[in-house]
Amino acid sequence: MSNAEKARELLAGALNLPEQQVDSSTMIGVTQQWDSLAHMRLMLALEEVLGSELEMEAVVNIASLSDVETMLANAKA
Amino acid sequence: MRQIKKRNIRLKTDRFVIRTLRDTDASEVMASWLADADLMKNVNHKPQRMSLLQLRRYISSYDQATRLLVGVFDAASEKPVGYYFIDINPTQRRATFNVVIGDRDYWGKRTVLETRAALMDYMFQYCVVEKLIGGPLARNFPAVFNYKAQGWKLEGLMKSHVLSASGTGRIDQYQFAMLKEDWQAIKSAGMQQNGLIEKEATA
Repeated sequence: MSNAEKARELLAGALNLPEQQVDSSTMIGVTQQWDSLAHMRLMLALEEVLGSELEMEAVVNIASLSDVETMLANAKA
Repeated sequence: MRQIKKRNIRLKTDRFVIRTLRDTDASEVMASWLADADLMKNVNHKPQRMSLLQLRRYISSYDQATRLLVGVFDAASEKPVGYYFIDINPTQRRATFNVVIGDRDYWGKRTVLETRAALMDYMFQYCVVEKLIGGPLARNFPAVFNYKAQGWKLEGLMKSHVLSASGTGRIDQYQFAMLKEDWQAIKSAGMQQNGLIEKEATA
């Protein structure tokens, strides 16, 4: 599974949305389903996938689907 | 020395009433929040089981002039939902926000965004405050979300900034800020719901 696919899967799961409804327009402040609890679910899911606590410098930058993808890519780099 | 006047805040939003807490607001519900380890962890407070008398004294310890304790109540049912504690530095025209949403039924429902917007309006309009500060613990993901979603600017990550109240060592803390002019710009752009100031009085 590519980083883009994994990012979409994780974000859709956190937001309780079908994956096809998660796209480049999905972001904090725009997507109604992206609330504080969804954000927490996303952070915890990312930590589970990556197998470690997230770097706090990076956590605060996650606000869109592409940010999630970037985090996954950077973790593998 | 200039006397700072006491605040008697009462704000109304679509779903909530936000008002200054008085000792008569002490309740078993609020006492249960202060004893809840999960809730208190988020604001780095040690959970403490208080009697109603102790809670009344705790509420009274806020001078409601520069140290504000403000309750959030469901507008329809009037049941308590949570509270803010806000420190105002009048010299620097700055205020520091902290919030606890004690009733978990209100988590993930934009409770903080709606109620804090009203308090921000109040602070900038009535309290001669020009800058607001928020300092969520780095792993308090919901709080970090709320600052970002509301348009607060990240000023920095303070590594190992505070001692954990639970005794687990030092923990990281973010600092977010909102300037008065930035908040006005956000509101002008229609990005945030206005809080309605129903009544403002001084005690």
